[in-house]
Amino acid sequence: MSEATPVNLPDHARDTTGTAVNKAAHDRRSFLKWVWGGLKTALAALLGVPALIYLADVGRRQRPLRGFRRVARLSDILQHGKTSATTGKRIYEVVVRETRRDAWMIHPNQVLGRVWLVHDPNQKIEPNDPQSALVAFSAVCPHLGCSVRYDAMDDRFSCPCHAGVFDLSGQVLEGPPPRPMDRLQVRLVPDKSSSTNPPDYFVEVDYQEFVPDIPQAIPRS
Amino acid sequence: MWQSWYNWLEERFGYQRLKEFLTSGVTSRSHRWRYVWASGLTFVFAIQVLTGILLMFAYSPGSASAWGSVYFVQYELPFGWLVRGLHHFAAEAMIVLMAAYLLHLGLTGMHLPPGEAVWWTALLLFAATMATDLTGNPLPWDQKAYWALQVELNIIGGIPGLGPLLQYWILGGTEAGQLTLTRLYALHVVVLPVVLAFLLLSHHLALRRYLQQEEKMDSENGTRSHGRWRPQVARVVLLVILASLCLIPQAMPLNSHHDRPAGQEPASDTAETRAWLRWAYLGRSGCGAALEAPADPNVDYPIARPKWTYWFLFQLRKSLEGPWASWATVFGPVVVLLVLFVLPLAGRGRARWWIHCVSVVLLLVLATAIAGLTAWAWWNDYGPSASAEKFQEELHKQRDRAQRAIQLAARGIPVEGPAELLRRDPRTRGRELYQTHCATCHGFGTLIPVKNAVAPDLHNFGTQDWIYQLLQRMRDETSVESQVMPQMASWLRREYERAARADARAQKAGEPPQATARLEEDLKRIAAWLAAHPRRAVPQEGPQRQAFEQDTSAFARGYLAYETHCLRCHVYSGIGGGDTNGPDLTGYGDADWLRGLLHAPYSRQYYGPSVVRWSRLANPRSWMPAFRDTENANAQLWQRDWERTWNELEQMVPENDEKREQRLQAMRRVCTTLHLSELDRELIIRFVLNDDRLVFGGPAVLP
Repeated sequence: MSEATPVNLPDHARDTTGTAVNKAAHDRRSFLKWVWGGLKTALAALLGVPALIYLADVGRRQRPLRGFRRVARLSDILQHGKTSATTGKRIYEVVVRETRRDAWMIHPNQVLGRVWLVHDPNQKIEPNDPQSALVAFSAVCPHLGCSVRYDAMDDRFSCPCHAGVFDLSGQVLEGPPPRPMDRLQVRLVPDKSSSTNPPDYFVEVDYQEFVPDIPQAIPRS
Repeated sequence: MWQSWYNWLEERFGYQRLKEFLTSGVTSRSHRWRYVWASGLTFVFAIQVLTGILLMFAYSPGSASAWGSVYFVQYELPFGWLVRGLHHFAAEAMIVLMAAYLLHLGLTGMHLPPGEAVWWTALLLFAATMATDLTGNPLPWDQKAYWALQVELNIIGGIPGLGPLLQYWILGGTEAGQLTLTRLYALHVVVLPVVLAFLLLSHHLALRRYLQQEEKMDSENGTRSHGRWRPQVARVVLLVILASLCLIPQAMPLNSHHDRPAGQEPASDTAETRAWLRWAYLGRSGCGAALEAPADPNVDYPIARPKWTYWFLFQLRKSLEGPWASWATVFGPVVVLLVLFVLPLAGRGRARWWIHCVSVVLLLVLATAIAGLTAWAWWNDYGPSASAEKFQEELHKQRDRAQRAIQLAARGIPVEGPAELLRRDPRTRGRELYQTHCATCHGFGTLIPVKNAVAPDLHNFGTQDWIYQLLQRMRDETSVESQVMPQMASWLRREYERAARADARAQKAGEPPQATARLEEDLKRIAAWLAAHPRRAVPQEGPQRQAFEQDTSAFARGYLAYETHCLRCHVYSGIGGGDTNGPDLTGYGDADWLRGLLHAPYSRQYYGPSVVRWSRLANPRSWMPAFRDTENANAQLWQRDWERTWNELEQMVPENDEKREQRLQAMRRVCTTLHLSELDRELIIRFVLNDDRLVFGGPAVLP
């Protein structure tokens, strides 16, 4: 890239005759060169920076919002839930549905996740704090995300993929899962329209997903 | 270190030779204005390639997805408006540049030998640019694009011989849709850009050879070469012109705004208040290229126009009549292009000067004709004339639709496609349906005024104000309301008269008159109560009842007022009525109530007993017909339902009535059923109730 190579010389540094140019012309040319370079850089930045931001497209779309969603009535669990042979608890699977947003598309009423509800009919219902009487587990296996199912024969939860086994309180009995089943927040809301005694409740679950295959239950961001 | 790296590159790849090849043609002569065009075109082409690639990261060619993806680029992706706007306006700039370049070449005689290769490649470039533009315009699949494509393809189809075949191939069948888009897309992003790149390269090579020739002639003739400072100035000026061509139209916020309904903003939008982020989403303020409502073959679009760069062809076609019209628009440009193409062949030797003169005249005439036709087209649509006014009116209507579609798209586009946004929007489609089905009798405020309405205006139906105003209008015997609900109206007038009498008595006794004021107070309370569409049961006895009577809530006050005045005729929650069987007021005015009303207004629950009373009149005014789907699978069911209701109505006419047969006949005439699909019914209900949610298959909703 030596100055002597004529091909490498910029257009303006050359004269048709090939003789040296005077100083004034040189100054003018270097000024124009500077303006030209500046313009090119400005234009490149003007287009390049937005282009990069456009391509990066970060943090705009989110997972469905958190919040309590109505999934069942307490009477459903009592009527349709399976009864644990050893503890008398009722085990019932519910589906959490939500409108999903896929870029510009919207899919109403999609399955957000499945939840296992474990209800102990012998415990007294405290609507504000039902933790002792009603527990909600995410059906997503904490190992690698398969669907955990209830095994009525052995009265325990099991994951079909890698043979993880949990008891009714979600603790790991066998297999690779690094932590117990993920508990979800649950609450009971009195059903004002019900005429039964004791009154019926709506079960509401705050569904969320957790990072798989680590010992702690950390919500996915 | 850089040097060794460079040396290695040079040794292994020999880039230096390529560089030498690329720069070898550059001489002082390349600074003349006429050589700047080609560089400018290359620059714009580069912008098109870059922005095009960026757009491809989001665009999805498909009749159900294209509009949504373009919407997404324009309004949801950061700087998407800029990328799309650049691509859009640079395309226009490229056509303008091409035209100016050709004009410059022709006027300066550069198209004649030895410049014929320059001229021919330039002409081919022009055609290829137009083709790229024409295949790109329909890609957003909005109304404008869709209808312009229809016209363009019909013109192509009019070419004798190959035309219909070409039309069929581009459409991918006989209708514009999925295949049309994918074919246009393939042409636009791969085939034509490759052709363009090849032509640009050839053009540059031809231009360089021409320069060398020119230089040789100059040195032979001893002509002085041009100044040295020109290249920079020329480039700077050109760059500024190009940049402003691409950027200025974008900065004008002329397009649809993206005003999300309150409470619909995604959580992350709060961060967008930051200044630089506002730049990223300037498309929401209407900057950048326009996006119209999604393409919908069902919706009339009487203002189909091509892009302004083709207005001259459009105007030519419009101003010609008969079989010549298609000939002129299809063959006219082809013939002109061919003539331009062969000009250099004729311009050899001594004929050169003459051909140059002919070319100058020809090009000037062409340019004037194109400019004139374009101006004429503009004048027709934007000038001061009746047809322009009509065009403007329609344009505004379409812009409103676009605005609404974009507002709705912010909530997400259904899988069925973006056209469903407006088809299922109560405010758009519901209003149209109201116009067709309801506006023969019911007005709707200033939005849909109806002359000689024979039924109440339904603007703000079911609100407290509407109900109260309805009651007040009934006091006037000549009003529509008192004519369609005569019993209710006469009862109301009697109540007011009684209150007035009580006031007069009180005045005589020297007490303050309160009866009228109390009646009005009660009516207001009832209106407020009804406006809440009450459905809750009220305790009728026991301590709960006592507690309810002490309740000061609007519901309790309203219910108690209802009990005093209306209970005798109107049922609420299974109680009351009996006397004259007025309509059931349980949930009055909510969607469910309206659904039932539309389904069978003649049922006992609604205005059935009134129908019986009406039949006493010799000439009953038109009565609300039933609206329901008479074509779906449930039609049989409804028919049975109707028979049951008819039996009920029949029994309400006394057996000993001497005019029984005539009355039954009149009732039958009044109880007509008109077809209305369930979707349309829901759209009308939501429109009347000012409920903005889209309707998806009957009552299921999308928030």
